[in-house]
Amino acid sequence: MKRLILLSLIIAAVTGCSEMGVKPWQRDILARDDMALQSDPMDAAFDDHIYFSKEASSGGQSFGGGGCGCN
Amino acid sequence: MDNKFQKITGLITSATGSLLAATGAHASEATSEGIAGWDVDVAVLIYSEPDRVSALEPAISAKKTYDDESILSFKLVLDSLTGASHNGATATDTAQTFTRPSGNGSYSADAGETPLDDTFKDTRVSFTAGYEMPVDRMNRVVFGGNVSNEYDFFSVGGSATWLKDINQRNTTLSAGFSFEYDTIKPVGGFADPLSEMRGNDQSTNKEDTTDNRVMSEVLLGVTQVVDRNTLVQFNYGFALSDGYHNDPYKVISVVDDTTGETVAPTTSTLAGRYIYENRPDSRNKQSLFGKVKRYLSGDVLDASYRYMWDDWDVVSHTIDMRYRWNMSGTQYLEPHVRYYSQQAAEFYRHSITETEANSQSYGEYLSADYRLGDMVGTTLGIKWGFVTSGGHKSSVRLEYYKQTGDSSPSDAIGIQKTQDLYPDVDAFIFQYNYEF
Amino acid sequence: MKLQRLILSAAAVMAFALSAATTQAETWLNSLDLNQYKNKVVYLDFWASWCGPCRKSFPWLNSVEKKYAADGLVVIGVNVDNDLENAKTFLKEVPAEFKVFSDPDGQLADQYKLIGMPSSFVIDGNGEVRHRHVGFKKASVAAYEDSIVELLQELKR
Repeated sequence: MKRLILLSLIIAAVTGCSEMGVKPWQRDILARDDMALQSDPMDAAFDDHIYFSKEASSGGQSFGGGGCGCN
Repeated sequence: MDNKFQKITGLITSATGSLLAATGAHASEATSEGIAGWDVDVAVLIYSEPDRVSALEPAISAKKTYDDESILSFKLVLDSLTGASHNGATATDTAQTFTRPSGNGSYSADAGETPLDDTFKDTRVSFTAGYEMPVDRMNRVVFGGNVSNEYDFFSVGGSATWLKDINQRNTTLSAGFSFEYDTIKPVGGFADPLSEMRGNDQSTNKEDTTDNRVMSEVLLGVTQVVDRNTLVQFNYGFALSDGYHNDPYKVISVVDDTTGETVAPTTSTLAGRYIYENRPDSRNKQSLFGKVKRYLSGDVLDASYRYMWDDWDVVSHTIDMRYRWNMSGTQYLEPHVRYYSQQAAEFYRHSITETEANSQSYGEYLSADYRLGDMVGTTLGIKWGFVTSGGHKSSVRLEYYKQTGDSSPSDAIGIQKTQDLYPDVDAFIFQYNYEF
Repeated sequence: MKLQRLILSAAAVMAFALSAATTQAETWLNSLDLNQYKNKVVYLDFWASWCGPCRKSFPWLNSVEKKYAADGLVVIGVNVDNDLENAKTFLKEVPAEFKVFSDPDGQLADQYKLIGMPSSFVIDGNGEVRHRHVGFKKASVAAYEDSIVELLQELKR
């Protein structure tokens, strides 16, 4: 039941998204290296491997989006 | 402290120098444009659990963007592992002896000491390649392939992810599929699940062969620009794995119903009765992940939460937070906190009683692998990023990871109440990174 | 003594003139009135200091300005940085040998209904936008140049 609520909250948030955002020329902050979804991919890969070896959970995170939105 | 740091960077730059020489590139040619258009990142990770496992992992990755905006990337990681790992048996009030996985020789634990198998010396090599291809202005596909090999384990896998931008690139939708094929060939072969660990003077009861496992995963995602300073991401993951899931080296202690002391075995020549674990041959995991990146007057906050559940009854929560404090345009300090909590797998037990072992009343599956137990993992870390005099980005990070579980569970019997049935695991992580 | 000083100052003047001629730095416009450029082809390019492909586009914009200025091409780079200092720092690393104009609030960008960065608009001799390019890809440079040449040829008629 808890999972259903969480999932439907996420879907509601996502479908309300078509009006949200910035104009293409307003992406200065988003273009910053430290605002990338994965700003330290090497660290993330090392951590993923450590936690996969020490815990019963793994992964769950994808990539893509944000950034300068150029081209 | 300054001198020590210079010594470390000296050691590492000479190590990376030899790595670069091997790949035919020269550090002196490095500019902010990379080497011949390739952006290279070299790193080394040192992982250390005092008195247990240690790992040294050098890694190198290279990425190049072509004129048509396609991107090719490669990564090579070496993982040199040494030290001792908990074998699943519990500490007890007498000394214990176990047979090494190879069947040659033995290792022991003192009274009150958690049994650790120190046979673990392994080197893993892992290679990953990726190719990102634009389909049209708003769509692209990313392909990945990976292969990794170590003494007792070989893995090969691939993935394909479709990324679609909508709403003038304010929203990015992603759908990814990945698969992996693993081959397991443990040292000494496979023991019959739930059979006793034999003494090294006995003929082996293990089958010297290989076994396999297939894993597949679907990962769906949405990334949304909320405003000029905020980015959010949501992911849903569904993973299925089929095949051999056991840890072939792990056992469970069988203890007396009233005294809690490890009982004598029925066929083995060892002093104690330890039976090999057995896990289901399939696993279905699902996860929900959410992340926020927020720019706050020059600094960046990165916070995420992951909720995972599977058909082994494992449920976990992961909260991860980082705060990048940009001290200047070229230097930052980034503290990091991670909190992980896990509910045990349905078939996890710290030990079983003699009655349970004889009647197999615990069911079909059983494991005392602490990584499947009720536990909390906390990480505290700090990272320092800077730009070198040559204009290249570099960083060092130091983290402390502590795992705790129920050391005195309510079902502890007799002398078990005096033992630590889930010892803490402490680990230190050090990483150095250099980009050019 | 007097002759030596004369020669030195002449040399100084020549050196100054020479340097001014060879390094043609960007020219910041105070206002943008496209009516000034009637009977010229205007290549209006929207750029920003944070835009990666803009870094790659500038060498090409410089070469195209040099090549076709005599034929009637005017390249104008409209900068959309909030903070002009960021734009100036960018220009120190990636020089622009054409006219630039600052649009910090994005008013001009809004007017032209930009859908992506960078964006360029090729405007003919009558002030009409005839071509629009979104993004900059080295692989598409020939197409960008063709759109300029097409309009320049119209001027000649």
